[in-house]
Amino acid sequence: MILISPQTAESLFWMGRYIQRAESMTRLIIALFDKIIDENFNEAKELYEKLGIALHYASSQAFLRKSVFELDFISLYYVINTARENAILTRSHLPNRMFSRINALYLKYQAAKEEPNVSIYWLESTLQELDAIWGNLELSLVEAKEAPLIELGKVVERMDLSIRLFDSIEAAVMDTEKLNVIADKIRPGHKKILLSSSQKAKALATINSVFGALITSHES
Amino acid sequence: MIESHSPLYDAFKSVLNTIDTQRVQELLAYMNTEAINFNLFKNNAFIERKFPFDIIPRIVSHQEFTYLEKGIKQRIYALNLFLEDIYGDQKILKDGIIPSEFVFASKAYLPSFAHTKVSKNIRVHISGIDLVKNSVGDGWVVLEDNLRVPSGVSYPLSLRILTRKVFPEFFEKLPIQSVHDYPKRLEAAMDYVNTGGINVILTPGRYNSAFYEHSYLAKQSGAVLATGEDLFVEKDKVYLKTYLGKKARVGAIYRRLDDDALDPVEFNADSLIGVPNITQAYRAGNIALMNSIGNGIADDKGIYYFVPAMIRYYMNEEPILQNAPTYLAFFEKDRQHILQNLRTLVIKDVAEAGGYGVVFGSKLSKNEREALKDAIIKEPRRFIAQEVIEFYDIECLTNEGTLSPRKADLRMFSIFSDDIFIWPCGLTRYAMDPSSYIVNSSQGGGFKDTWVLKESK
Repeated sequence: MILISPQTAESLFWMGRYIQRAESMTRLIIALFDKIIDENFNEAKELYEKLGIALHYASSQAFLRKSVFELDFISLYYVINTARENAILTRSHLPNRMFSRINALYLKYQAAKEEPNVSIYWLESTLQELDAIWGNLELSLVEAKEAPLIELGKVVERMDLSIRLFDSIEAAVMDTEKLNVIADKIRPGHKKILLSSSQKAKALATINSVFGALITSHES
Repeated sequence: MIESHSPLYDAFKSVLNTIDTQRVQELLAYMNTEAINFNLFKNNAFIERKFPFDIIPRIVSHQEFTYLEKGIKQRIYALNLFLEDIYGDQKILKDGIIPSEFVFASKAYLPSFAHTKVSKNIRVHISGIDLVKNSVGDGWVVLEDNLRVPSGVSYPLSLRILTRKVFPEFFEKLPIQSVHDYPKRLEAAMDYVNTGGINVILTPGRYNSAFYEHSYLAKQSGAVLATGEDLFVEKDKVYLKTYLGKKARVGAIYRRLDDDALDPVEFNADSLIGVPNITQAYRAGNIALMNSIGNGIADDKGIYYFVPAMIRYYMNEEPILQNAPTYLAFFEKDRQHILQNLRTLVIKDVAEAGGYGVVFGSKLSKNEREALKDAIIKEPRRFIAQEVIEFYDIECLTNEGTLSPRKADLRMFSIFSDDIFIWPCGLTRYAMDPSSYIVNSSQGGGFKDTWVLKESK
């Protein structure tokens, strides 16, 4: 029987969140890059403003450089590094290949950071790597207790981003059923999570408190 | 000086000559992807560091391994008996084999643990014995016994698994002993002393230099990797917190932190990585700690001097393995010898480890020598001196594809359960600088695999 401590559970959850965040950010950066070229130069600036980040760029390549490597706490490099840190902490619970893929992705970014330009084709390959990481999770941890903790992070992150970035509570609501299925795997018989479709702040608070509500700190 | 080539080494070389050594890069890429790191703290900064690895192994014949195995087993038995005695009736002191004040003056001796019984009377569960092969006399010499938290086993183990895949030729053509069962042996040793509950590997955390090893051994042995925060003590029993708010009884802990950090209630109150009151559970016999508390007294650099005497005293046998010729500044006669011959000796501070506090008298300036003399006179218990051993170099493959000799030692690991198992492998550490004698990983040294060969039929 594999036992998981609260700290490890938290790291697994955050690893899931950061891998999902890496996926969402990659897709977003690729899409924004496309817009900036010749459609709407300020689109990335406006979107990042929603996250409370002032982003300035003089060209589409400068946008790539900033969003992939330079922005504090939100660059793709930072997100992947944080996913990797959580993978290191939980390594003894992860399939070898899953850990290696996360680490390899980080190393790839570390090396690319030294390059003068960010290649969009190279960035596209991140999505393939992330698909492979999720694939490893599904293949190797399908029955394991670790899997729902990582999946919870994945779904919570997706819901959070739907609301925060795209103002789409509806998209988050659509994920609620999935969230409840995962939560039930973690704590059978847990209180169902419900999202109001009108209150953004309340919905965000509910989503971001799911992990804490499911994982109980031990009182000795 | 390089040891004269044995037929075994020649056989290795003949295979090496047929393969493309550029494949070493493939091996290093594997290591990189798997994050096989030995991290360093330098200038208060955490540096994630790849552990430099050299493809050319140390090759040990079956006959030589059998000799080392016998000698190390003898040493471990004696050291375990010494610890049982020193935290028990202290007969060895009463019989005058070791001066009592020499033991009692050591910070590593923990009198508050006197008469604490340990599961199955085993205290030295995991040990790492550091040896070198002396070019004078061609014999193995023990440099140190590491009986607290010796690290390093996972590196040759992980590399062996990778090397077999990248360079199968060696394993097809040479009779190399398999080493993969180490984690299972560790698991069995934990089960053997377990007082009822799960097995745990207790790590100081992510920023410990050997965190990779802790994580690796936990995964491979089936133990739960935990930090101090994950454990708690209730009614003298140790528990692991689980994420659903439940608790799981812990019966054995392979702890990878020093005594000082283990229990902030008993030892260093500032320790944030220990488990409060774990020593209470230990005293009550409700937890097996691997290795036991207070082992530092047996691998104290000064006590090392007495290991041959321990073997004679407890086992009525002559030591199989030799110590390096050692002088104790604690003894008047030895002290005078040290002070008069400082230039030719290696001086070691018994309180230091990991290659720190090791000084070659020949490399000191006049002022430094005088300062050291004063320190020795002021605190004689703190210092030992040893003759410089001209141990063999081992060839290393340089980036240019040439061979370069480097000083190298060998750390051999043992697991003590119902018997003592000597792992037919070891961590061969080499100096990065061709002129250096310091091979320690914490000082930037690299490592090699150690291939023990099967008995020839």
